[in-house]
Amino acid sequence: MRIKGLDKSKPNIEVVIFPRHDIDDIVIKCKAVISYDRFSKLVAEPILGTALFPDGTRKPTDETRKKFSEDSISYFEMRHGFMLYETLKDNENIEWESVSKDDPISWKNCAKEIDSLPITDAESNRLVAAINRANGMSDALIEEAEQSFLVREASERVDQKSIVSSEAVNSTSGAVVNV
Amino acid sequence: MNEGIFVDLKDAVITVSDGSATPKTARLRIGDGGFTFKQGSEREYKLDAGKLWRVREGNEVPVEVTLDFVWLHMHTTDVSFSDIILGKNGCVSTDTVYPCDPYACDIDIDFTKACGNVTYFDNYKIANFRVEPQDYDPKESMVKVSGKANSVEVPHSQSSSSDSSSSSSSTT
Repeated sequence: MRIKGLDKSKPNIEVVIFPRHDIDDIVIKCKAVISYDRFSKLVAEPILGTALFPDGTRKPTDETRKKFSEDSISYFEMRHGFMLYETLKDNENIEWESVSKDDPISWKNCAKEIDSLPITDAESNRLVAAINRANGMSDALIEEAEQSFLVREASERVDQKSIVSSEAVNSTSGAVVNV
Repeated sequence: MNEGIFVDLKDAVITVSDGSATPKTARLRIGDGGFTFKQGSEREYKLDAGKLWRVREGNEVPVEVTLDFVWLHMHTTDVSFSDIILGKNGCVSTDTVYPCDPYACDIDIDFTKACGNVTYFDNYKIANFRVEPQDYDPKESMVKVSGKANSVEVPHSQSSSSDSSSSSSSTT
């Protein structure tokens, strides 16, 4: 399936530039993560475990719930890290120190490594915002796009109405047209 | 005669595991019961003309273990507690030195007690435990199992951790 002629091979790209005086400006491209298939292959989704009881039934216990909660936190940390890594992986100027392509546990370090980049806090915030925008996770941007769409639709409706009423006024027979 | 050491198993967690690369395990939360083990070699007291003279270590004696408990619930991988104890259903012996000897498994007994902001941990480790099949008697939630471990003692370790993450440990 395509939208506006685009398919999965053309992900959304956001570019952030950090101006520098002494060296070349730092340019970072944030490419949307189109597929999480690789993540799913390497990391299993946590499952609420059960314990066997003497009567033969299986039920969750405090222990399995606690483990499920810990596993879930770990799972989402890895998923977030995977998103950060995949979004930035095509930037040759970024060198990861403790993140490895095929080690899901190491993906948890992505956010920490982004914090340690030699950029200011404000620039770091801009980078994170660009990553979120590229991946369609910016609420403000989504709201802005929705508002702009609704305004456009409303103005199109107003235009159509004004055309209809002007045609009705200009009609010589006095009959309403285009209704 | 050495009567052995008795440990109350109330609120303990018993983990049995086999020797697979990814060990098959069964972890049981214990409601009530006890664990007894006899360890230590017999010493020989030599006499000289009827008077005590010298003391020599006797032959090593394997630790004798008896577990008698009621379990509340059990977490297992794909095998049962009995499978791991008896070496059935694809379980592999933990005795990697002599894998052709009778089947053995490992047993860990853990106690966790919280007091204020400090948590105390106790662990007994029975390595290469071999059950005496005639002394294995599971009845629903009640289990009685006896056997020997191919070692002269049951290592016991204690540790604690507090909210400030400090910890200490000792091993006997």
